[in-house]
Amino acid sequence: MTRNLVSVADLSPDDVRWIVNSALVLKRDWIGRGFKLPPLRGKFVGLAFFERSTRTQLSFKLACHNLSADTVEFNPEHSSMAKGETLKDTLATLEAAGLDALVIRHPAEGAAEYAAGIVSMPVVNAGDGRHEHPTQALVDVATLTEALAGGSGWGRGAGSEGTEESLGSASTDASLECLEGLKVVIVGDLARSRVARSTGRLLAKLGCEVVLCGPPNWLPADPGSFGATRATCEVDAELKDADVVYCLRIQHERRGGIHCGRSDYLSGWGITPSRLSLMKAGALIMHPGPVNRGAELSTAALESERSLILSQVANGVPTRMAVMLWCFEVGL
Amino acid sequence: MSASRPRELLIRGGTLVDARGAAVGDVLIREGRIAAAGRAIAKPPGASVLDATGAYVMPALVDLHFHVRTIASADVEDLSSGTQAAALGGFCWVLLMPNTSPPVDRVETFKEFKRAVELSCLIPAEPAACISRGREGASLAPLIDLYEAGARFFTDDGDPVQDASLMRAALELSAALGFCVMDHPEERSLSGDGVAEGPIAEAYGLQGAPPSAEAVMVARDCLLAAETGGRYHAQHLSRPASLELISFFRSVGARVTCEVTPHHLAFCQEEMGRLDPLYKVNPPLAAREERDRLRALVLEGCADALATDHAPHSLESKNRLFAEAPFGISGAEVALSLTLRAIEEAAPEAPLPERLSLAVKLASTAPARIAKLGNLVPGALEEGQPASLVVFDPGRELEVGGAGWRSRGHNHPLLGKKLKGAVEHVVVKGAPVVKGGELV
Repeated sequence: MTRNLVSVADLSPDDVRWIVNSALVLKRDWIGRGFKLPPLRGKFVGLAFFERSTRTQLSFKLACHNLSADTVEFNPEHSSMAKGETLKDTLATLEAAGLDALVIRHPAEGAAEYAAGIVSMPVVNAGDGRHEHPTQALVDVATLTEALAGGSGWGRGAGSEGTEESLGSASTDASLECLEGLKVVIVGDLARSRVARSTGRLLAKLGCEVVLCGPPNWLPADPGSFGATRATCEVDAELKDADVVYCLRIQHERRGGIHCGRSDYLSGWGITPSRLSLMKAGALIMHPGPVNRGAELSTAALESERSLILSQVANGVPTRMAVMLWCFEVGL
Repeated sequence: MSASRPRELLIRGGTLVDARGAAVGDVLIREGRIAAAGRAIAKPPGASVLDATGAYVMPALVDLHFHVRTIASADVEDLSSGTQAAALGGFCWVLLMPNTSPPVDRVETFKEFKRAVELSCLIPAEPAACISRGREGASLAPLIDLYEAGARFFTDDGDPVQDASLMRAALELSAALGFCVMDHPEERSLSGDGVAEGPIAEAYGLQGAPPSAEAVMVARDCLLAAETGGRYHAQHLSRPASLELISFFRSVGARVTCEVTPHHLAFCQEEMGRLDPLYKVNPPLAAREERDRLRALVLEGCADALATDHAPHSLESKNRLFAEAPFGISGAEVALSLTLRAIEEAAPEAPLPERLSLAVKLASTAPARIAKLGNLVPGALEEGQPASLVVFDPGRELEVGGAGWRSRGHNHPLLGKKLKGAVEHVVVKGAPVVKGGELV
């Protein structure tokens, strides 16, 4: 069976554990050491981004290069698709040309699932419309685990252990149990968010209680499709006992939804200094980036001790390295 | 029509079903009309016989909503392949939608279409004409000239008439001339991403169409029909709210009718499972609860007619990314069995003859009245009525898209699956066109 990562539903808890462990070990022991790891040497990974992306595309590219895979960037605007070739034919062509895996971002919901049905190589969903963004969800789980599992040797700022034996022991090392029972409040532009759908469902799968919060017209009809138990407008009440407050970016560029002014949003739903003080001790703030500073988060919240936002960025590459290894079924 | 017409034809051993009910009996056909209907009719010397033992004999079906893709013959669904599929489905007449390539928005095209129908269609058929030039919704097509050339139905189907003043003008002409204005009611600012509100829309983050995406335009059209006195027919209604609006305007005397499709009665969004282009249809399939309410309203008599919206596409063009795939289901050949399945699911306690009688009312009697086909379709199975009949075997199974499939569109959600119930024989004005499930 080809390993695809189209949706977080493709991942068993063991898969998540393996990917998160591997990501954190890679981060601790290999990132920034000035050399590449060899496991994917000779593999060609296609990066087919049908929608603009800087951070995700760059982190997949770095992840592949760090593992010695070559990347082939496919730009639909400069391809035969501009001449009217269908996505199906384009995908078949990419596979026939000799790619070993495909990372795809596409504005249409279901595009990665469709691609996985066309090609036999592994397909990784780098975001399909408003549907899913599963690697972001894994980045988020890795970041939370890293922040919470203090004693397991790779908490924040860890990296003191020797590199000799750590790789072999990594896969049994970490535990995702620290996520069980956490209350995660996802706040913001839920209707248009693929991040919330993936992160919410993955956190729910790992035992978190997920609650959705936002302006009434941005809440989904079915909170369950985000892994959530409920959806509410009462942000202040929900923040008080939250362990994690996950803020979403207002997606002005995506169709649908009602626009909301920046300052209106901040006072209604953003993390202002006063909301920051409502949060309980040790509660954390996350955001998939890029942040609309002064809208979803005040500067005080963005720069507070609670913020894991820079860790999320830092975990982007190692998590995607782990995802590529998982797809190719290659151990560390 | 090339089929030979025997002087007399006896359909023997079946159960006769019409909109009023069912009774065991035979039908004797003479010179295109029913000469006798009832128990144990003796076979006149020289008469041909069609065996209907264990089967049901019903008025042949009428389809107010049928798509072929071109007037010329081609490798897409054309008049020949399309009407063969319709005949196999038990239809004796179809209304051809004008969104062909080119569209039927000029008198010359309409006349050419009429000539092609005479030459190529296996069963009687009639083209509708466009309401607007090029189906662009900007200016009226020459409705009066088209009417004088014989057009009796006008629609921009595939697209709604977004401009209310254009619709009003068409209905004003309808009030004066008596033709029927049909609309594909869809408020595009509400109709979302090709799915209805429901679990699949939620799971994929798609904007689902609410009931109002259809109902606001049904309401608008009905208001315009009521105030102009025009004759309005709402196409492929998929939402309970739309049927309730039609019922209301009917009750206050507006000249409005509507149709529902077999697929909107049979399927719901939940059955898609994933974003499956074979289930992609416009209007989109509603969620189960909405669909169940639609069924209930149809059983209560809120819908006038059943129409297939037969919309053939090649599997190649359908098997694409959901967002890129065309809308439509190619369903004429199994319209009756699919409808009966839906009625059975909605009213499992009703006996089969009763369910068949409802299907006859929806798929034959009512649309024949709307299309004024009193000379082609029997309003009841009795002496003197035109002998366009179908013999339906409720026990035989038919594979969707199987060996006998004649539509060039295999795009059906049940492709490769079996459906219970099959059309055995079809007689159009006394002439057999289908015998034993095959074209004559």
